[in-house]
Amino acid sequence: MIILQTLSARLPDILFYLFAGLSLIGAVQVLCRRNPMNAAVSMVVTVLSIAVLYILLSAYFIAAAQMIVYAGAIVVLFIFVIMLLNLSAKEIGRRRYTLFKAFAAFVAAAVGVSLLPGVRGAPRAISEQPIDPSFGSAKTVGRLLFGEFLLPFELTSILILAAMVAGVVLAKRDITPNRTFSPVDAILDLLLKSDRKDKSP
Amino acid sequence: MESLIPVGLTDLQGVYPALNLAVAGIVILLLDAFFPMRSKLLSAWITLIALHLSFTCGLHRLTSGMDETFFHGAVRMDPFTHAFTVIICLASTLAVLSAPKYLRLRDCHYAEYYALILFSVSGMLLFSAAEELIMLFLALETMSIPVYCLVAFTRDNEYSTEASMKYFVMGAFATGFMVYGVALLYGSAGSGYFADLPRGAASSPGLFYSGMTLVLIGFLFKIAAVPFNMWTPDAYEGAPTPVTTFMAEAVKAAPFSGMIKLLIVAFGFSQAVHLWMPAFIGIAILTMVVGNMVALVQTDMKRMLGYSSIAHSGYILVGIVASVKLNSSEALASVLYYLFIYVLMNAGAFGILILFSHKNKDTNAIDDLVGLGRERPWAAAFMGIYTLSLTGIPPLGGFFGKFYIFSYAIKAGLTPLVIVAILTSVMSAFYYLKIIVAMYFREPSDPQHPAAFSYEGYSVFLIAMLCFTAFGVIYFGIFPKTPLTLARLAAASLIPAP
Amino acid sequence: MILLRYIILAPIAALLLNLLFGRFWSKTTTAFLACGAVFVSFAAAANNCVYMIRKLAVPEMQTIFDPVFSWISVGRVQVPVDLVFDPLSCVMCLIITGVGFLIHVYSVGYMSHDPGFRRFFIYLNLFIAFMLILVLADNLALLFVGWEGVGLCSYLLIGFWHTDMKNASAGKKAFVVNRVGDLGFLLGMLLILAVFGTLSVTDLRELISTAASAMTPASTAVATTICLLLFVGATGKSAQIPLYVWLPDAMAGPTPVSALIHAATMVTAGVYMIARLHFLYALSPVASAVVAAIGAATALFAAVIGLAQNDIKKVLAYSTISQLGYMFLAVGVGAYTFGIFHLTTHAFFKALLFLGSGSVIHAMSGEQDMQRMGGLRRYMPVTYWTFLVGTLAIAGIWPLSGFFSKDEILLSARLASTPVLSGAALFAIGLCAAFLTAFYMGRLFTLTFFGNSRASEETKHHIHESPWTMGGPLILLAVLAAGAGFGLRQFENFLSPIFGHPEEAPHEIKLAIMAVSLLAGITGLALSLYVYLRRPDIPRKISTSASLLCDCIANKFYIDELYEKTVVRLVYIAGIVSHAFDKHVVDRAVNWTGGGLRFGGFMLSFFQSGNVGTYAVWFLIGVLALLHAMGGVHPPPAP
Repeated sequence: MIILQTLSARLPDILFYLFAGLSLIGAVQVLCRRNPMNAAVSMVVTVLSIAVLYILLSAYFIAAAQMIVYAGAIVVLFIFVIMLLNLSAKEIGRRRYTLFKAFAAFVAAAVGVSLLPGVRGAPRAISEQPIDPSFGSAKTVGRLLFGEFLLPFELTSILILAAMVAGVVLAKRDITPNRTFSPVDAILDLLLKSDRKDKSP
Repeated sequence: MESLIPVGLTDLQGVYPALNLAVAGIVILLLDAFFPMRSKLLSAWITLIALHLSFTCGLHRLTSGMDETFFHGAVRMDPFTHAFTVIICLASTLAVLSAPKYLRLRDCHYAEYYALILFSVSGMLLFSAAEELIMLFLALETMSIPVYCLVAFTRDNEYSTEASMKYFVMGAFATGFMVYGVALLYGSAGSGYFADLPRGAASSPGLFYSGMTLVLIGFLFKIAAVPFNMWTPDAYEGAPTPVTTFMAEAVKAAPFSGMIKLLIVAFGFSQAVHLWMPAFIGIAILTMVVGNMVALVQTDMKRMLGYSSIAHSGYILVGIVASVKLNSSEALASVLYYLFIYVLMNAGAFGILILFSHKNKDTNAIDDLVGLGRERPWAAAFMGIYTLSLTGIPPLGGFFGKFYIFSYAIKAGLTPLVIVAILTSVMSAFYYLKIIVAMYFREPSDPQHPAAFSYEGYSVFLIAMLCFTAFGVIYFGIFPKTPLTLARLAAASLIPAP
Repeated sequence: MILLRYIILAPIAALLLNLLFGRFWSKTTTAFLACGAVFVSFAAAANNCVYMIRKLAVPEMQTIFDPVFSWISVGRVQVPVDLVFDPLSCVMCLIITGVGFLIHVYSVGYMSHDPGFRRFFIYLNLFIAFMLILVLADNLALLFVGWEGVGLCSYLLIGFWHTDMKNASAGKKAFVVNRVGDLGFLLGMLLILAVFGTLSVTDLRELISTAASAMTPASTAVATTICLLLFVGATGKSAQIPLYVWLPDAMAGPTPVSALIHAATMVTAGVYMIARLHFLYALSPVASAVVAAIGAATALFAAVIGLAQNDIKKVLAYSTISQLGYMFLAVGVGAYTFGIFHLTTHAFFKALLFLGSGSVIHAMSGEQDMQRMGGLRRYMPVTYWTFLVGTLAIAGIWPLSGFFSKDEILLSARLASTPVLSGAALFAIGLCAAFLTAFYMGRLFTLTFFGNSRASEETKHHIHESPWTMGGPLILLAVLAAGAGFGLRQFENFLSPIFGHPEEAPHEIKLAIMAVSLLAGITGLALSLYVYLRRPDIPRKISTSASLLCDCIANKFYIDELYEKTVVRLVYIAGIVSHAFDKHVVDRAVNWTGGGLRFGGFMLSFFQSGNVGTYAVWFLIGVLALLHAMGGVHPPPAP
């Protein structure tokens, strides 16, 4: 009973470590899997674990947004693309272990370790502040986005537009204009043609 | 519940230079959708006009000394920002002027080119105005993402696409660090506003300094400081030359604005300065030495100019360190002056390369310039002016740029740094003079058939750009007063006089 | 009032136009532009001069100041490009642009058949522009820009016919000798900057006028050092002992160049500089005495050499050196007004003489040796009469201008009472030089214009009077050389805001000296006329009986050979040694450094493998290093 009680009292902590660990494992899997489909699925794991972390912070709206946007839209898009490409095992190639990769992993680990001491000093500063009950709600997020962060929020639209145009430019097979595609030109042509018809005997 | 703080028309007017460009970009896209056959040159003109409007707006605001914040403090329009608005718009104009003919030669003259440039520049302008971390980050990305695409704009060229890919991957890598840094800084200070950040150092120094390091790394990547410079030569070489011009100037100059602002406003208190300054001195030395040394062995001009741009970042870092150490707006003004001149002379050098680019081949190798002095004396003379200015020969602008920066660095007691800087400048003379030697003093390997220099890349735009830059390098070298006065005005808004 | 910058910009505009578009238009247009620009400058300067004379009553209006822009400003060191137009620079401006204009017009005729016509006028305009910068500069750094600029132009113009080896090496000699002087000037300038913290002449003047009362021996020593260093620069530019050797060789250039640069303007830059900094020289009696002594010595020495030269331009060159010596003598004894006055009259009559000699040379198909001239009076009346005026003026015959200026200098020298030098000695040397001047000028004149022609028949056939573009300037200059002396009092008044009024000498002494100097001039002329017209055997007798002395003089006291044997030899040996050092040590070091750098660059470029993975690892290493360096790992305690 006591165990259960302590468990339920410590539940948020336990859940945090569980899902934080899961998200990390998922992230490492995204990196290490040769098969893109496996990698995409691992990414779903990461994304969903992070959504759980948001819930633990009682930011329900953000958690929902995270699930819908990332897991629901983006990863699904990835999977569609991967399936369309339909890569064979030969194209994917085999994993090779080299000394260089080991060195790289070592350096990366060293960077991670170097970041630890900084992060360790953090919770003290933040947990002492009482959390506003409306934190993370749709209303607060909306107010922030259209109030304090209006300009960055609007800037994202330019950013996404630019990214979209960039994607189209790079991916479209042929972007040299096709005359028949232009509605205005078509209308002009039509007018001119009818004009010509009148004049012809 | 507090009600929404309204955003008014004045806020939109405040960000007019950036807004104007974004709207122009959208207009170009729409025009291209409806008038695909007529939109190309029109887009170029719209781009130039939009850039010109932003430029004049920036210049007007700079001279009138406007200093206000907009959008609840997300952006601050102070003279420093206006100065960068002017520099960035000028640099982009020069890059756009060099583009149309080259793109037509490569069969990829699309309106999207101009739209992407405009989006990128609007990002830069907001970036230089940002007073808040999220704003800063988003603006930086708005600036970068179009450039990744522009590098690959000649899509059939595999060098171009490979360069773009590398640049994109490395850029994403750097962005990751930067976002992490932003998160840590926000976590430490509980606010993203630059002015609030120093209190993070008091409440949780660990978070703060890790965040500071990571954010600065993001910037150092963008300005191509060693060891975050690896992408530069590849991207410069692979990109279509007008895009390289754009990257070497606007994309290069813009990150300095945010970095200087952060270094002075957020990380300008003595404890932080003691930490980042030695690191920056080390990076400056590395950057100057590596950039100049590797440039020595290059045979491709674009690649060489890529390394030289790395080296120039080093000189600018020297200026930044000196101005923070002296806490002097005059020293900071010399950095702005240097950027201004750098934009002019570099644009010119790339412009000459564009002038001689052929239908399917660039004229990039130094060997390709042999005999230019005899065949095309005017073009060779222009190239000579740019190279001599890049070397730092008086009375050209490049000399005074370096001269001012170095003399303030000496004043700040950074003599060892200046010695390295001067030695590496001397080193740089070797490879810059290689160009002049090739143009004037080397005999073609086959004297019977000297290289034919045809102005295939000729266009009125490009000639205008070359004349302007050459004139500017000479004029603003001999008469540095106007840009210097404006730069001092701008710098004084960031470092008020003691 | 016209802004001063336009005075300088006019010739620059003309030269740029000629440089850029000259090949598209005719020689006439080129010449018209070049001459017109100088005339515009002259008109502007004259206009400003009139303006200034009107405002002379108001003390603060005596100078026109034009701050063009601030050129270099780093902390304490300010080098603004400020132009200043006070009576002194006004006089210089008028000489440069006025005489310069006449010489430009003359050159149109003189150079009309030369293929380098356009190049010549571009150089000439460039010279005028630099010379104007030199005299209008308020700042010594800017003055130095002009100083070096005119040196460059002089070098380019001496070697104008650079296909001839002799001309090219003469240009080189001028260049090298001037470098020695410039080094002194530069050191002096740096010392001024170190001591006073400013290079602006106006500021210096104020500083010194406030500090002059508190002079200590140490500060006098500093002033002496500065003055002597600057004077080294002046001896180089103004061809004084010991750096005069380049000027006779510089006659290799076209004759208008000799007239403009090596007689009227550039070589007087040293005198101008000392006059400009007269308040500095006033602090140091020793330096002033050195200036006076060197000036007097040069005046005599060069006059002696001038006696035995046969090349018409060489005689005039030594005469120029000698007259420059007079000017230094004047400024050395503190008679700045008369130094500048002699500078002015000398500009007129020496330009006249050079242009006249050019006319003669032109007529004689390039012959410069006086032994082969003679009897030209009949063929070239204009040249003859104008040359006569010039000769009388330089010989100091009343009422021509040379008499007034020379007389005043001799008077000032006689009255000079420095603790170091005796005024009587200076006076005696000056008088001797005046006599010799009259003598060698008489000789030149007689050999050229009187007697029977000694030229070959073919040359004789070609002898003709010069065209009006050459004759016109000669006549105008002759009028100036004849009449300028009567402006002495006005001149004194005009310059008095700068130099003050010179002391009035006792009337008897004045008259006595006038008489003596006039006598010296007349006897010199008369003696030479007698000797070379009636008794041409006397010089021959002298040269046989005192052959050693005559050889010495004819060979310019073997100074060139002495320099050749000592300085040049030493430099040559040093050259060989340093060449060996350069080849075996420096070259190797440079090659090694270059090689090392290249190798380093090559090694470093290996890191640029093209592999994104490698880039990322380097990036990470950078991150790691920065995290450690910037306190991410060991954050400092919260303040």
